[in-house]
Amino acid sequence: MIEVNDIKKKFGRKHVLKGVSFTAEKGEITCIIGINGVGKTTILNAIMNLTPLNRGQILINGETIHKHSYEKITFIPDAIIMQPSMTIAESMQFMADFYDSWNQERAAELLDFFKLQESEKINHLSKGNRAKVNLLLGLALNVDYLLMDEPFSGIDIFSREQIAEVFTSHLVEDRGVVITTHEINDIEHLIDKAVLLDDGKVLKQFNSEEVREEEGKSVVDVMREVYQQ
Amino acid sequence: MKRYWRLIVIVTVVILTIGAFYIKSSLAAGNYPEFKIEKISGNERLINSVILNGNYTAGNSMGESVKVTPDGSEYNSNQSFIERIQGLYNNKIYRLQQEYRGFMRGKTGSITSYFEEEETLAYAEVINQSVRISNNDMEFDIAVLNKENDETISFTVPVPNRAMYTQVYVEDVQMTDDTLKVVTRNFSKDGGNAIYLYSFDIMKQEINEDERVAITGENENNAMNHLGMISASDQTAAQKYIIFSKDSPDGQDVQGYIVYNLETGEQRTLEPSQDLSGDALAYDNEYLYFSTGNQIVQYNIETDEITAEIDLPSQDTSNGDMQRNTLPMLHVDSDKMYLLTGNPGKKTSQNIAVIDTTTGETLYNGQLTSKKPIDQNGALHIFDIQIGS
Amino acid sequence: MNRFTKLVNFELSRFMKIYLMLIALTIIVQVAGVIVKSNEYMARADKAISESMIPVAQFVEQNGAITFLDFARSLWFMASIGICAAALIFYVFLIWYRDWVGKNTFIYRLLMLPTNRLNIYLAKAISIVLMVLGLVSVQLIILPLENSVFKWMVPVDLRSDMTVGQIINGDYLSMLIPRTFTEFILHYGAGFMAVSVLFTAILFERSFKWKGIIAGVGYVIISVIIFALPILSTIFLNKNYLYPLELVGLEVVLGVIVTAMSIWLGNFLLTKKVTV
Repeated sequence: MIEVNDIKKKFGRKHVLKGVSFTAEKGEITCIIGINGVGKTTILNAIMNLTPLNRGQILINGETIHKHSYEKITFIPDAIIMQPSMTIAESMQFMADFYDSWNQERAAELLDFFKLQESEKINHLSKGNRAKVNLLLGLALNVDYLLMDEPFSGIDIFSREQIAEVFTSHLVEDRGVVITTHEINDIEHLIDKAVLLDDGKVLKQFNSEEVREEEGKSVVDVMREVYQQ
Repeated sequence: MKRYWRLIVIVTVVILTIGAFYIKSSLAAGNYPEFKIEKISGNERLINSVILNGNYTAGNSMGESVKVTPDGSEYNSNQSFIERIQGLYNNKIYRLQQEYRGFMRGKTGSITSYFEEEETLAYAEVINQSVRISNNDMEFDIAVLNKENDETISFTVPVPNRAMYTQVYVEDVQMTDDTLKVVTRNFSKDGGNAIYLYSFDIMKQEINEDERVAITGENENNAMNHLGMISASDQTAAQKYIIFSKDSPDGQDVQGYIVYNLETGEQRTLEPSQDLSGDALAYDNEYLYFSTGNQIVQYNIETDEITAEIDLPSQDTSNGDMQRNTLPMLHVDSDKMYLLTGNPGKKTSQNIAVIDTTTGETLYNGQLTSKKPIDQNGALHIFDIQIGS
Repeated sequence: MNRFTKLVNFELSRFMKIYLMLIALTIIVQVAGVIVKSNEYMARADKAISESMIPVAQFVEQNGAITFLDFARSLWFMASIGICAAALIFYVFLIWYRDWVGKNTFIYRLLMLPTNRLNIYLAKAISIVLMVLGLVSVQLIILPLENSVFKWMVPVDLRSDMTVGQIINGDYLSMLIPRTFTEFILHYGAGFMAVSVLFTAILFERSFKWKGIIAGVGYVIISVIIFALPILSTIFLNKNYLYPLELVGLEVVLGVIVTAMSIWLGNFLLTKKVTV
């Protein structure tokens, strides 16, 4: 379980996170929803200890993050995080070199699924393919938790469909996924839990299935209620 | 492993190259010519303790300092780093530092700032005169060590009339009983300079007398003439006199010598005569030594007599290159005179002689030789004759 | 291979193209310099000897025989060393900033490696040191070759030969290649200290942005003051209390303190304060 406890973060005088708390479970897809600039990425960065917090605590399976945690949790930002001069094969080799949890078969499977050429250089790839490589490098790790920052933003429709397909496949199942988005439509049917964020605070967090069954509302309906108040 | 070729190549090249370089350079004593002092005639034992400090330059490099002894030469580059930085000082100052480590701590100044006798080690230097500090802070830094009971008296005294001077150098330090005499050269703000003698009462820790011994004057050509200090053969030893020359403005001709008696405070001028032609090399108590080119003249300044004329040892003139355009180097140690003659250049060899100053007899004559012929552009410059370690 | 070694290898490979170009440039410029300088001298000698009918010996006496140092002190040689030095100093900064700058923010990957973040810091520092030493080695390897080219270009009666050892000891090259191994360790130890101080200053900037620049500059100034304390005190007190060996010992201790402080602070910033 990822526990985010009352985290606060300011950039200069601007308070971006004003005490955010939520949890994300293994085997669930948790979606952090909010308009741009609301601090969604900062939360993911903070979970990975990529940015210091002013206050609050984040626990992963009950522990604060340490070097071995990176074998158990990984982050797929919205830009590719490999040397652009590397080929896909070299990127995969880099991951295999440094991560014990690298799963070469799964990587090969993903390569096949995304129809990517191993010998291609990252800086020669299209934006959609780059996002796929980025996803591949994260998904091929045998991690418990995957954090993804806006995996669907700015890429073509076919790539989106392909990526969405991944979420329902065995490649993701059993893992805990935390995903951020400002556009819920593509993945509304996928998410288990929604965290609605605004003005540095969690306005509401809820289980989408419960809301659907008990109140007969979709995630978008709840969002409309919450944000339009 | 193949993927790590970059790391493997760089580490291997670095270790092999740099390792090989330092192993080789620690073995390569043969890079520079090996010099030694070779006997021509006389008693070899007389030069056993002689060390010639010099510098060997090959081509237009900065050169390597080297010590030449009868047994061979030791180059600076063959010394370890620790040996080398300890040898930064004048040999005598280094010896004093080893023997009187506490007393010598923080003492700057050149060898002329020190005076050493059996029971006493005295030091005087003018401090606070770097460009940064206003010259009005100039002070004498005085310290006297009683070697017997290991007691040190030290104090500072402002330089009298210090506002007048830009720089004050200590030229000699002498001590008798509780009086420390410091000979200085004071450069005044108007451009001239003068020799001063300051007497310190060590017990009262104050200056009890200061006297201007000589000043540069303007001669008929309206030019300043020079005052040249003749150095004592042993600059830390007790001397009865200080001697300096009055030189012509161009520094070429000596117009006379001034002899100042430190005990009586009297001074007199020795007029240059036929007897006193040539260049004064050094003095040792009452004896002043001149080089006339072919002879070393020993002149007694108390009796105004030439007490010895010592022919310079004959040199190998077979190659027809018998120039003596460099002054011989002289070191007097009690009744023996060590004399180094000849040019550092390639053709003339350099000779070293030990001469009895009382009889003028040459006790030893030797030559600096190198095992393999030195490079045509190589030259050994000796700048100091040292007796004993 | 542990992750640290892999990181060093990775950092080396990232700069390898430019690094190999630097090596090639050094060799080409220096060998060209030997040839040009030798030819210049030969042309002068030829002119004097054939036109003014001066005997070779007299020409050498008047002009001095050419030595390898004439070339080592020329712009050809100094510029090639200067360019390499400038490139590596520039890379001390670039080795960090390249991970942040641009669309491909590789710093995410580095910070998420399952290894101590200190290893990232040390791998970058060791890479810089290895690249410096690599260039010094290349210089050591090509010096005898250049010396041979020089001997081949100029006839023996016009030149004065020097061994590689004499060439190095004879001039500023002894800064790069000191004469004893002890000094080699001291020089490059000081170099490593300087790299660590700069790295930590860079991490200050990366952690606190604008305020970090001030903190970084302040950190560099403090480090310099600590390291130069014995020398500064000599200047201000106008007195030199320490014997040379004591001064060296004290500088070694202060250097170790500054380096340890930089690495500790660098690790702290990298694990607790740095931001992507």
